[in-house]
Amino acid sequence: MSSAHGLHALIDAHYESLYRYAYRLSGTATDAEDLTQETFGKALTHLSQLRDPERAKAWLFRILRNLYLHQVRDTKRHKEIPLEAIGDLPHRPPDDPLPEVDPVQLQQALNDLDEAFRTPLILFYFEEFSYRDIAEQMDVPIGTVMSRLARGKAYLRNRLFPNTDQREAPRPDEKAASGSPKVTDGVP
Amino acid sequence: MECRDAQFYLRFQRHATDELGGEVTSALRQHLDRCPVCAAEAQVIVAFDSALARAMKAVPVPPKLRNRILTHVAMKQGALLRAKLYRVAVGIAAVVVIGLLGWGIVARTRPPVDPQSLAELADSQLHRPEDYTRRWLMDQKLPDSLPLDFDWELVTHRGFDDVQGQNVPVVVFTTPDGRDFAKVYIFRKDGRFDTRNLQAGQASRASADVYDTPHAVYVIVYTGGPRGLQRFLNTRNPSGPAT
Repeated sequence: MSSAHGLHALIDAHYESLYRYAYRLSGTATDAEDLTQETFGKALTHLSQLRDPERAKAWLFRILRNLYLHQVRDTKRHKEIPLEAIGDLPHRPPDDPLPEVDPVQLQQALNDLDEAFRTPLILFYFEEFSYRDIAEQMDVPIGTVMSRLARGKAYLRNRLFPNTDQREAPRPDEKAASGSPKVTDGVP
Repeated sequence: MECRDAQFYLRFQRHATDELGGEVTSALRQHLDRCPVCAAEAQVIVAFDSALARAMKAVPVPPKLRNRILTHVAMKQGALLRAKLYRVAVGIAAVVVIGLLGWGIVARTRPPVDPQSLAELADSQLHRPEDYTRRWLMDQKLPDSLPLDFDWELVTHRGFDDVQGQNVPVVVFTTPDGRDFAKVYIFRKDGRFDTRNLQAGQASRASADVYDTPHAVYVIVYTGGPRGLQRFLNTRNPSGPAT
């Protein structure tokens, strides 16, 4: 793919999902819009590198993530939750239905999360990327992706439904004292 | 499959795709069929994932975003095109400058045409033909005299003739009426020609005499019959050819 026509086709096919991804990554509409525009600007200059058009979406998502990481490299913009604070998936009574998740609260929870956990969660819930795709996006082993997803989901559940869990995830100090987290990087 | 394993795999099971592999998925399904606790947990996880997926994707896309992206890309394309054109223009300019510089150097090293000096040269040839011819012979690193006492007023040309593929110096004398001529070919003894034991030649309208000297061999070709050469000499009593 090497023409402006091809790029326009890519824009039409992917700009919405890219914007949503950028929004969930950055947390603001302005940053998301800038990132989306910059992604296509970058894609324009490197379009000749896209050899397999079927991988275009993963390629664009990867460009966007790299731009985002470049943007926040020097400034830690968020007060992130320590990894140790993220515990296992909590239990909840089967007959207690989960309420709907408020997208704004979800974004606040994501903003407080380290990017290493935030990205796989976003890609996972977009339901368009396999574990292998996510691992390729992030240049980490697939086991690491699954581990981070498990812990990220547990964190989100604690944040979004704090009063419904029978077993709270331990605080960072408690976790350090126990010395045996149930889910660790590299598992399973 | 035990409950502990089922709980583990439930965390990684995705409902849109089967990434755990057929064996694990089948075992997990069988376990959930007979374990109400794990089945309930599975329902909770499904509900949680569904709710989170809906919320994750609930991001309104700005209605003018597509146009803004297209504008941004068009500007970027313009900038890229300008940069490309700039590079091409710089390349062309560099070629032109180098060409002009090269042309200037060549032009500076080329001798200018000087009509005045050409006129003076012709003047010299007309007024002092003997001196001019002697200088020309010396310029060609040849003896500055010819083997016979030619009438220099009759000299009309000094230059080179192609003889058997080699440029050979020649001095040409022409009668005032322009009907007869004498050509003096000068062969250096430098090994380019075999000049040993040359014989005089004779054709229907021209004759060739040979004069052998220590530094060169002169072959004089002339028209006007056997005594035609006399018409080009000052003394009408030449020493005669070498052969």
